[in-house]
Amino acid sequence: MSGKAAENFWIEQLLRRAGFGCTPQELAGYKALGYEDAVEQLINPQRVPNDELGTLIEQQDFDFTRLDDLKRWWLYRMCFTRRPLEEKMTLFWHGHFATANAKVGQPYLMYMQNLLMRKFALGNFHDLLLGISRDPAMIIWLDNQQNRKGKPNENYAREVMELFTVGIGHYTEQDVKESARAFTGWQTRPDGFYFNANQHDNGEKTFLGHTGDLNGDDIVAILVSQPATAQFLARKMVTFFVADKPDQSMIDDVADAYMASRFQIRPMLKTIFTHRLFRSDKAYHAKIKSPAELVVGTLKTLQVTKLDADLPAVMARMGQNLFEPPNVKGWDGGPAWISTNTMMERFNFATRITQQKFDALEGYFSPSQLAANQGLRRARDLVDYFLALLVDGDVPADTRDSLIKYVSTDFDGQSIEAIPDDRTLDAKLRGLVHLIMTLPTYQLA
Amino acid sequence: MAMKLNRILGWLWASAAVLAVASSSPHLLPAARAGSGSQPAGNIFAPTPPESAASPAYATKKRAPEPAAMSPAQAMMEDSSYADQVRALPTLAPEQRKQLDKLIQDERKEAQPLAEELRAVRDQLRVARQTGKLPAPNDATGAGSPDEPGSSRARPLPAGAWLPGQAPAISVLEARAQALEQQMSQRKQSLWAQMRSVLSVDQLRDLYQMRKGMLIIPGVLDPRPMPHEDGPLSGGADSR
Repeated sequence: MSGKAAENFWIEQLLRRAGFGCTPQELAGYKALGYEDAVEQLINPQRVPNDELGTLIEQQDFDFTRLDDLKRWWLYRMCFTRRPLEEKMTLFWHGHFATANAKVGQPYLMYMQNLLMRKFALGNFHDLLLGISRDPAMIIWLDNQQNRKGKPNENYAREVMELFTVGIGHYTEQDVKESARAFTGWQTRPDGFYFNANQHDNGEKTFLGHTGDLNGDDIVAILVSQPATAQFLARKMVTFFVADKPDQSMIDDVADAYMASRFQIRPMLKTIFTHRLFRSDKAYHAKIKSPAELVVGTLKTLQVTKLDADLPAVMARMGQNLFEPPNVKGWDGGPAWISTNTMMERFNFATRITQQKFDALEGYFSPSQLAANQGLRRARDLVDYFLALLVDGDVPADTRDSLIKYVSTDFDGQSIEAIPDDRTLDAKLRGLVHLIMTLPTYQLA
Repeated sequence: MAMKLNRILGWLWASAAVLAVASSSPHLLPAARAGSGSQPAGNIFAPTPPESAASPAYATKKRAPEPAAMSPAQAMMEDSSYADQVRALPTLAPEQRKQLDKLIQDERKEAQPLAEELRAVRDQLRVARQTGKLPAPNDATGAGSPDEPGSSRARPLPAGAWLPGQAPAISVLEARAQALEQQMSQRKQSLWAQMRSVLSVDQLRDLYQMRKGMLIIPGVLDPRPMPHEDGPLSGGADSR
């Protein structure tokens, strides 16, 4: 592979990982930038205008007090943002600081939490953790509302260490108790975070070797500065972006970037995407697509612009229900995405997206239009085009041969050199894309 | 984990091989083969009924925009479905909250018999539609009783005790469900009117802004230590 071809190859992977895949137009734009500049653009979303997304969302007239609208709103963002990494990181933090509306019961608070995660998605982890510690949805979710002087509730204090920062093995039960005391009085009420001084324990506490009248701010500051937090976050990010089985040397490099930048997330991401291992066999197709990646990636690649209202429900059936992670640990990801049930949902989605046709086709999958744009008509060319588009051409030769055979056989079983008419072309291409979407490779990011 | 991944991928390859063979069959991909725009009847890939309901005609989901002539507050007044969200308004005074809570609790109490009857009728309808038979009433609502369809009078009948010709038509149950739904809707409207009288115009506007995602709850997006009426936060990390 030539240097430029190799670079383009890795840019496609970059967009699958740092985003949710891409449209052919977006891909062309990033390829024109080159790999290094593409990374720079992705990790600096604030430099990319995103006004069209705002206009598009406004047209949908979402009601942010309704959970189903909230899910659709986020799906729109994932599909149509020009800042894909911002959205991907928001999803990452949603899984990291997993909070479910099932308990919070107020979609608007979930919306506010989502805005918070997006605002600090690539910023400083200290700011993000502080915001999360005061976030009304989180306070309800982990019961800090009930954390009072003399009657500490340890739920948030435990999870902030076990799941959000240092991880198990880097704190003691005494640290949990002391941390819970520091967070006493951190409550919420309808006008936002509320520090209830009457319920705050002002006594002396000792936490991870620090002693004093510590409060929640101090606990957050201590936790974000721990090397164990750097390792914990780096491992999770590398697993999320690179491979379901991460490489320790890469984790170390990303953790170093966190500590060296005083807890900035952006340098961690840059280290990941420019790491030699990110552009290696260890990373290539080494991750199973999450339902969000599968659904949004498919829509973008096939240039489907009409988002059916039930798509979030489709994702939920695949195992990723936005704003409703399964538990405090969030989604396990990796091989856990795949089960007999969820695979059937993935296949159903492939059928639906390729076969659904309405009176008005605009905005839906139109394979013959895609083929016409490329001037393709021969079976071999069509198969190669859609294999490249959907799976990087990463299939065994016999699979390719089977697909060519499928396309080059007419409805009567006769071999055809080129597709004779538009009706046959449409039918064959829908079948072809459906088959590719049910290949194992298509389940991999 | 690598073993599990390999196992999964192996299984996937096998599935794909089956699909590849099957898909080349003239008996598969009916919509594609026919080149028709319609989905086959009873398509297992169609969304389940609640989802279909959430996406009318699949593609045409387009909520009507707010009439331009209507002010945000007026628009809210026309809409009774946001009563619960009112309690989340940041500017509610404690006295207003008390009044609203009382209104909501009273309404829940008073509407409970109606809601229970509606649930029972819907259950009967669901069973009837699925099986083609009307189930015997198994609760005290007596909904669907032969002489007084939808009556709330208890009618103790053993399971399967409907006699031929006595069971009400499904349409009777549907009519009863519709009537109950209408009553519930009227009650909601009435509750909303009462709640509205508790709120100021500014608060109605806030509610509208919440719906539009424009009402920012103070402090949520600005997590720096904040002074507060009950006492400032002390110490803490520097803000970056």
